[in-house]
Amino acid sequence: MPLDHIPLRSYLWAVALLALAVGLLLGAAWLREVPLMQMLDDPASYHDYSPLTGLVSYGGIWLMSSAATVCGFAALVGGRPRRLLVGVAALSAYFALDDLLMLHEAVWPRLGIPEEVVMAGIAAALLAILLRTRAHAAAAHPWGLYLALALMAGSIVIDQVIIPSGDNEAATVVEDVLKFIALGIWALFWTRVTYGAVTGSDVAQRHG
Amino acid sequence: MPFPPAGRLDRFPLRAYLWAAGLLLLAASLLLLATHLRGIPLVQMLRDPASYYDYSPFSGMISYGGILLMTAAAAISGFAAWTGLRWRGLLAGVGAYSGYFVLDDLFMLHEGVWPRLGVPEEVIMTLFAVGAGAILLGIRAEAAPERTWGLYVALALMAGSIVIDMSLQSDPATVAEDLLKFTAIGVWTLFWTGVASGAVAGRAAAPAEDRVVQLETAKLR
Repeated sequence: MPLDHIPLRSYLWAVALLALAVGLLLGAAWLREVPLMQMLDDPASYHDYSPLTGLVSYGGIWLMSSAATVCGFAALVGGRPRRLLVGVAALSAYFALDDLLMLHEAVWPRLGIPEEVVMAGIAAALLAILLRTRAHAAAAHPWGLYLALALMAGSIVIDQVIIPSGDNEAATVVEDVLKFIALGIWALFWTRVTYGAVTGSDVAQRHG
Repeated sequence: MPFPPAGRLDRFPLRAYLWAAGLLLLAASLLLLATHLRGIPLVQMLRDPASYYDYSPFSGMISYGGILLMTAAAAISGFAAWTGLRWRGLLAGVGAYSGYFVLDDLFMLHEGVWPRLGVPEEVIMTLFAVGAGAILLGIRAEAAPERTWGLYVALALMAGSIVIDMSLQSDPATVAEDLLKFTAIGVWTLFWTGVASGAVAGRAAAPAEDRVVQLETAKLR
């Protein structure tokens, strides 16, 4: 088995496409008179604030993008159930991007899509994943998924019901900590599922 | 020992998730306590910086793109080291190296944090170079006599970025430096995704009984 089975020209194509993507992004920024450095530099450096700001938020994004990558990779190499893994990868990746770029709060509403529609779309996707997982899990209960969704639901209830009624720092702390734990459990659950999907570990145990 | 049902997706018991939730809660609580003791508002650690400081969430988009790509490289390499049949030590090293790279880039560790703790930036950069050199030597040993073009391209682009960073100070130079770094990280991720897929190749797609044979073969190696 060759270690690197991707030909050189594919890497050169990748370089060209990545450079093109950056070029288009910088071109759009320039046309909108946004300083190019604002798009390139770390925001902490550009806006001159502590780089540890948002540590918990970034931790959640890091966990979610890891879950997306691992599920996508497992689907790529033939792990099963493949469609479920692709769906989880897509939702986790969207979630990470939404959190990082504040899509549902700041971007979609500007394009005429209300925040509520985006939240309903995410809820529908989560429900579909829950139902598919239940179907694949047979008689067993996917406890990790239940726990992650319960924690996330708690976080959303606080965000939508308690925080809008007034400035409440304690509620904000509880909401963000619940969300962080939910994302950690989500990542752990799907990492374990993908491990089984790629290795068939139950079979190995039986014969091991 | 009872074995899980064949159709079962999730093999962790509920208590493992409760332990994980407890540990995550403990980590967040310790972080917030340290924040509170230093007189920093808790919300500053919890919220997206763009929301907290009220600037465009697209600020730093290319930097964030590089961080997401490197996170992908770390996660895929780590996962393949855990589940794969070959090159596991190398992939574990790449997972750790890429994971540290992400943290360093995201939290400006070599620029803002390590120097405050008495570790000069030059020491960190030297360690980065040593890590990259070790990975290059490791992969040459595994791949010989083949060429690993993806790694060469990634390292050449990254070297170009570092040379510009250390020798030129202007806006066009910064654009070129960041462009080279972003493309380097993209090629790095593509290369290690290819290696990782080779490391687990045949395993996921094989029928269940074949996997046992593969596992036994891997043990014998």
